[in-house]
Amino acid sequence: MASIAVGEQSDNAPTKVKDDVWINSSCNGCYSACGIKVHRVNGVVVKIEGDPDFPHNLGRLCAKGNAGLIALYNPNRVKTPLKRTNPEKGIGVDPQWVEIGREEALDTVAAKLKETRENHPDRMGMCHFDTNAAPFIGAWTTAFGSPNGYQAASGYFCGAGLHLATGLTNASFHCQIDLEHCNYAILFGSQLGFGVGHCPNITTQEMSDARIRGMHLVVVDPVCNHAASKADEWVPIRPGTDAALALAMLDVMLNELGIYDAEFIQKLTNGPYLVGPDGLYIRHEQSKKPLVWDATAGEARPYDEADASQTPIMGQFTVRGQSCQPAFQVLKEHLRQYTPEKASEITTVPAQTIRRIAGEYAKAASIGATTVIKGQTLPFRPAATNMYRGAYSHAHATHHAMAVQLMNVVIGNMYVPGGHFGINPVGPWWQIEEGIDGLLVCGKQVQMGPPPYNFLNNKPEPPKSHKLTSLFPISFSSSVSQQLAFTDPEKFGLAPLDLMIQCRGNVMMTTVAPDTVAAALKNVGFIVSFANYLDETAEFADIVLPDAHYLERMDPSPNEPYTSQNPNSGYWYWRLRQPVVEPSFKAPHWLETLIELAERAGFLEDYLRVLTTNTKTRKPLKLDLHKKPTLEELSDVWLRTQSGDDTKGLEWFKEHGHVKIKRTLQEEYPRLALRCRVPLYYEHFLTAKGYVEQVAQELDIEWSTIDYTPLISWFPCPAYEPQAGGFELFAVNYTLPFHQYSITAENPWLQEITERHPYAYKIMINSETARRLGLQDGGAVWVEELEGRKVKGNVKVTECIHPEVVAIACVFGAWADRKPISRGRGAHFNSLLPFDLKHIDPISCGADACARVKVYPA
Amino acid sequence: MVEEFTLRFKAQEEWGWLAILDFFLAGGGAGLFLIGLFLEVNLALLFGLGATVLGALALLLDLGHPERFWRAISRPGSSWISRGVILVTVYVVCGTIYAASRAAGLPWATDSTLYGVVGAIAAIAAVGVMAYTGFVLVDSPGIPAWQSALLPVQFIVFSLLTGAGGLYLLLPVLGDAGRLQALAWVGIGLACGGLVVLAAYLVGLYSSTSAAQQAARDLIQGRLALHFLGVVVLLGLVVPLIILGYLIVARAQLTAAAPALMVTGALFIVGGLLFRYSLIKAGCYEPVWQRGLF
Amino acid sequence: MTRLGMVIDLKRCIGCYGCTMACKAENATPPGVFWNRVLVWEEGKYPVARQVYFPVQCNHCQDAPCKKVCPTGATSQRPDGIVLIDYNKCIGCRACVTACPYQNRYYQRETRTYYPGVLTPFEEVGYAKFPPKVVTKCNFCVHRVDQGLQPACVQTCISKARTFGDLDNPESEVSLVMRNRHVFRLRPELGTEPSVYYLG
Repeated sequence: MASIAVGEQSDNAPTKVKDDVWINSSCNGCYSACGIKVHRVNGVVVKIEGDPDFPHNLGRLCAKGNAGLIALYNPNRVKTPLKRTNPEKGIGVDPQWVEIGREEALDTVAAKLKETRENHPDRMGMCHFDTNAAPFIGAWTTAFGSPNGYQAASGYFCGAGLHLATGLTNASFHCQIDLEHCNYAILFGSQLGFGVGHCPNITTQEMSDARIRGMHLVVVDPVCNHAASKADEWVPIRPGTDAALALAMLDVMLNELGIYDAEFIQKLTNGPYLVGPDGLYIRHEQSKKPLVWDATAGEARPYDEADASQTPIMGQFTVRGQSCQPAFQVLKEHLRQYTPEKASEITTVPAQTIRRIAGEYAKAASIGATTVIKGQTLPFRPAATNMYRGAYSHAHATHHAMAVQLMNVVIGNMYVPGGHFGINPVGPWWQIEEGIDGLLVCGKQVQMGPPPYNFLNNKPEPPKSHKLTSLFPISFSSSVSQQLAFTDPEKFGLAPLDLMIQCRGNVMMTTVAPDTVAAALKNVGFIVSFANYLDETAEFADIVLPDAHYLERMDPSPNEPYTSQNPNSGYWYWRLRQPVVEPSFKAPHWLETLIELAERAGFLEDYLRVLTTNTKTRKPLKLDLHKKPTLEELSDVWLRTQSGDDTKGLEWFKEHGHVKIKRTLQEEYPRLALRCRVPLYYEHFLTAKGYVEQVAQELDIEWSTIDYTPLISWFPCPAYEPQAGGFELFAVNYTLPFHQYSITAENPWLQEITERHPYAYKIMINSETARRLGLQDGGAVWVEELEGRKVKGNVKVTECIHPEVVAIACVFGAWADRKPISRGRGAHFNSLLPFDLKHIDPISCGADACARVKVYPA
Repeated sequence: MVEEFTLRFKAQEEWGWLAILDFFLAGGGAGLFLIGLFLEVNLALLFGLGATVLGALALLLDLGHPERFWRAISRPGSSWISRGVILVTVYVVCGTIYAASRAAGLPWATDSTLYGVVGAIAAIAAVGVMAYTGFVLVDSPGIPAWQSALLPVQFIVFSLLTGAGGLYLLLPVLGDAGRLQALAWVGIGLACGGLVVLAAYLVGLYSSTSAAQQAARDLIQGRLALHFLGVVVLLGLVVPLIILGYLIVARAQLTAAAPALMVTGALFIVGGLLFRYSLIKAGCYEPVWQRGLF
Repeated sequence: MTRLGMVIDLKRCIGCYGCTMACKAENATPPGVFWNRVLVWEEGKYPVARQVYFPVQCNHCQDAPCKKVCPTGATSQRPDGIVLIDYNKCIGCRACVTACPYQNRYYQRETRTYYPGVLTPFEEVGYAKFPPKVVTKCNFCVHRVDQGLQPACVQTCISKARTFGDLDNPESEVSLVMRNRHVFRLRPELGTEPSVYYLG
């Protein structure tokens, strides 16, 4: 090897041991946690492969998973604890790090923790996106006494709008399609089955099989990348108008074709609930239950006292002298304003295309058909829509997401073969539960935010935490609200944070408008970052502690059943992530450090107690509250509890990797367990509106509540408004299957293919638009938004994009000095996004990820 | 700039200056040797052999593992490189025996059949050396610009041109006034031959696949136009023709003509070098996929 | 007779680069060397346009131009069709690189490392199998195949686009997936007889 030009041996070289083993573990190339087998030879990781027996990925692994090992050996990883010596903080400001010992670092942090906990425990914020360790980190924050534990570092990668919409309509955190049986699928701004998103590897296998089987795939997206390119039909759409398209398709289905699942709407939605002229339900005078018309009795009765099959979903009735209509009738009438012609003007999708696709979809739904699965008769609805970030990352996210969801609800495809699925609303120890008014709500284990109807029981009062829950009473997600609160805590009657602990998530790059994030981080008294690299966020830290790579970590809970297990695999599965190599630089899993800090700051017992009362475990964890557990001991207890087999502890999992348990039919097809109703009319939004208005009034702030309407509608987002001064284009972000978050950009293998990808680091622009603007393929341009934020990049002139759109992929364009692989490569999309109330969905608090821009040569 | 993973015409990159130098020196040397043999100019034989040896050295330098060069003779049944190495070896060995014997005035060099046979073998091998580089290129089926039966012919013609150029440069040393006209006629003949084969080759490219047309465009109007049209054709063939034609028409004497002839020789040599450069650099792969396959 | 080959279903392939990365890890190819790539280009005119994802690698041609031009015999072919390079015989003349019509051979003048100036433990182990100044290419993961395993790219493919096996056996998986599909090989007019088949 004499010819290799090498300056130094990397200093995380393994201690020399002679062995040749394959070790069961769990990937962390994204949050999805596929099962992996890692080949280690003489202490060196030489290969990662998928575990063929693990239902989450069936032995297959994406580019990120395969490339994970080279990042383990990245010499630019943080090697020692560091202390900031430059008190000035800012983008590009050198923190003037000095190396300190681990003891000194932990002492400093423990003292800060103690002080904050004694004075204002609520002024500690935990900022991370460590989904695989989330239950343990959450408990730590709770034990500390802070309500500000959140997963902000996902940034706006994921979907506030989506989680809210699915939580309300399918009682789960997410959405999927039964690809094994589906015959017609429409994806709205979604790459479902194209290597990204939830359970990406198994879903990609299912999608591939479905496409070969002949499932018709339509992809609605301004950008034609992976999903649209493989679809039967790409429908380019103007950004921020997906709701208008979905509502027009619904208009065609309901009003032009008259195709909908009347039986489902009657029995399992609030379609028959009678709605008065004020938009509120007509309620029973004593019980306050919504009334339905009972055709047999010829009178209105509470929904649960009428014969469901005799409750009309259309018509006009009079109750107590008041004229009223079933909610479905109201919805149907409401949809008439969204004619394909009108939607065509909004979306740029031709009216005839809207009619054709709506017709094909409705026909494919085979309403009335049934199928027998394992002896059980189920409705057969082999058509479904699915959405992801592209559709709803706009100011009116909730309505976008709900409009797409409504296309599922009206054909009655919820949790039946071929139809729409949530992620596991029914499991071995949890169920779909009944919320208010007979509507479904997810089990408490599945719930990520406050239960959606909780606010009805609460007093409207100013927010108590940075999550701003009382201003977003229905929201599932609090990433964006916390950024709002950090930026201007006084506005919401809150104090700035004294202390922030930050790990696994580079908020400076992954959230909107780094300039505002920087300002918010500067407001925080003291920041502790656990970091793999001295990234853009660690640049704001006061103390940095090295973090472990996932091949050095132990996590007993990488595949959370409520949000992350594949609903269509037929199994439940629990797997262990175990360290494959000793931690480099003696940097343990940050959870271990947190436990140590809890001990030093005097709340270890509280922490353990919170863990034992964790509501998400199968049974309470049995822990000795008086002894600091090692991560191994914690994992052992967790695994024995969650797998449901007390004989299978850590050692068993280390050897065997995982347990998998066959699902019951009801767990596979939760429709069999569906006793409550799916809302298609959101009456409680009206109550929420009044609630939020009252909170805003008390805070004396301007607050938009126009989105709180019970009928799903299309609202134009700020970028939709025409602008003078050449701001004629929309900038959007899209994903690639070989990147996730900002961290993969620092992987040199992935960097190398990204650099060779014709689009990845470029700014996509339509050939006609480029010609009009005089832009050459490969030429350098500025993309500038209305408020003057701008990014520079090189143009890719392409046919695969809507003419009004420029698209920038992933989270590229890093700027931190100590990230030599990703620094300066590609453009940073989030730097284009404004951050203010106008650009936030007032219901879900999702951030708008679309901007009005002009593009000009650099 | 890294090369993107995409579909486009891609010029071959593996063969660069060292290979070009080898093709030029080995072929040109063989050309000079042959002309020397034909015109019985012993010095030309020695210079020709020397050039070929230099070319072989360039090739050796171009190898990743020059210490394993001896392996290159292993596959004469299929590989033109193997054949080429053998041809060069035979030509250099026989040629050196032949030329050295004559230079040393050894008796067998005057009246032995064996000597004639050695010379004939050297001559035949020299023709092979001139041609084989063309066959090496023909063996790259992915590069349509090289899929021409004319390629070996071109390499022979340009090797002889280069050889003639070398001979012109040797003129002051030779001082051979008597054959000036003959020398000029040889140059004219070869230059005309060069023009004819190049024209025929270009016509062939234009009527071939898209990558061949791309190569032709590169040569005529693209990235290689200056090298090819400017140097190979204009300076390397047309200008020499004018000079040589003038010399013949004017019946110039050696003293007057020698500088002009030497300039012509230099032009032939530069043209010969750039001919190899242009042809090798014009080599451009046909994209692996064409519309309509699926 | 066994004739090993691969079938790549272009309808399934989503261009995720899983194969490219699995190959890199399995074979420890240094920077700039890709035994397995996915070409991306686009077709059509807006709005009827799409990106095309097209995986390429050594085709293990039955009549391989690379083998023909090799002057040393370093490139050889096993009876089962796998075209191999003996790094100890290769003199680095690169005639085969130029001869491969599919541009799937790589020659590296020096071994560079992924982190400039640092040889990671992975690379230290991996590059020991990977001498510089010789020509390299995909070998169908012969070390895996001989153990009865699938090539790394086949094993990892998340859209199930790749199958590998005996082309001569009509009941093998590779033969089965080709039934009733439009099958083609790259540049068939060259007569190289590739062992990599594509399904359109």
